[in-house]
Amino acid sequence: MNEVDFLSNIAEILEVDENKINLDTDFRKDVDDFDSLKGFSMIVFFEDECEKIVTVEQFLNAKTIGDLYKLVN
Amino acid sequence: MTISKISGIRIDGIYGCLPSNVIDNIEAGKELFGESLDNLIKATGIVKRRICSNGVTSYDLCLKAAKELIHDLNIDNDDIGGIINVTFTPDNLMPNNATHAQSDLNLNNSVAAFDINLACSGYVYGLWVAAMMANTLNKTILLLDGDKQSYLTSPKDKSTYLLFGDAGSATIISPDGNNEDEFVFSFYTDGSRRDSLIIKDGAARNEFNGESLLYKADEDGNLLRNVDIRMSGMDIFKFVVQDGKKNIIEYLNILGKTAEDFDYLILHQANVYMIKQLCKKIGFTLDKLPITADKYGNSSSATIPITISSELHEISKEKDLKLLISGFGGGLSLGIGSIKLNTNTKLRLLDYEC
Repeated sequence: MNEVDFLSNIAEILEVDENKINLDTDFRKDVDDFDSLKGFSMIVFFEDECEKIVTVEQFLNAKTIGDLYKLVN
Repeated sequence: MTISKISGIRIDGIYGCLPSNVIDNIEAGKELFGESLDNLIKATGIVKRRICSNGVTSYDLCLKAAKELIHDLNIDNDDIGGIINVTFTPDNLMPNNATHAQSDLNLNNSVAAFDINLACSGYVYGLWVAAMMANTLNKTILLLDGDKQSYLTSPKDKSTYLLFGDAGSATIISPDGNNEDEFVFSFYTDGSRRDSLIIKDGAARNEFNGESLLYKADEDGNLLRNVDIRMSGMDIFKFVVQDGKKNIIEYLNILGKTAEDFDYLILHQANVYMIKQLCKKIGFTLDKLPITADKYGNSSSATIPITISSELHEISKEKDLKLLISGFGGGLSLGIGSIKLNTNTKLRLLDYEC
């Protein structure tokens, strides 16, 4: 999945505008109201749409949206 | 996918009944969650919940709803041929709730009366069985659906405490040979994932024992007893947005229907974020998804009749409503149904003082 589509999907999961996030965004700190349900939702998105299994541990080690992008590419 | 189509029946009324006791999560969660409370309430979207107090059970809530509904519909007790109570929290393990309702409602001794043990998918099953019974008995069927989860929820468990509430409901289904509306049901079950949502102790497999009431830490550090509802949030989330999505889309394809064919999507009110995600994934817009989890909490299978009675009672007087309903959870179990309410269908949400 290309960067633009990836960011658009992540924005939808985080319920924020696409222009509010980029690959450098620290999604736990810089995004309002990040929580575990949104984390679950991202893991499901990686599996269903990016066809990549990301473990909870890998997810917890990722800091920025760019780190997540690397995991699925 | 199994599909069951039933016609020649109608829904006469759906009454929900909530305990009047309101739990405000902002107060209730202060100690357990500290700083993270705000975020958690925003995440689940559940701000307030209703729970029973003073020994009231979901049976009491269902009974009140049933009495009012039978009265308002002016139904003769002899017209009722069956009682079903969907619950996993009956008043007693034996005898069941439905037989109790026969005497409390002064119904005929000839009624068929039994409980169905199901959690969050239960209302869809209840409607399905009630519809088949109405057809074969050619009599009106009373469907009770409710649970009291509050006494099985640990106040020290972050994954369940801010979610669960109590509720009851009564639905009346009658045979109607002139009604050509099709009610269509489908189900999906994966028992291999049963541990994802389970009460470990207190029934025959793990008999209630000296340790059942001890608070012990799970792998995430939550403290809960073996008699409490134990849930893996991630597993359930995946079940709903993956298996739920896949099955509902397949169901719609088989029926040749899309979101356009339904006035509303009524989902089990598990938590607000998850059901919004599911709603979008199956091609519905959020304006078709009534939400009640925010004010009443997740009361297991009764959230569907609670949401219908709470949110649709005005609009249903103006026009017939086609609803897509789906419940999902413990089992793991999923139920999908399309049902129709007409302008004569009585809907009301009641309070039970406690």
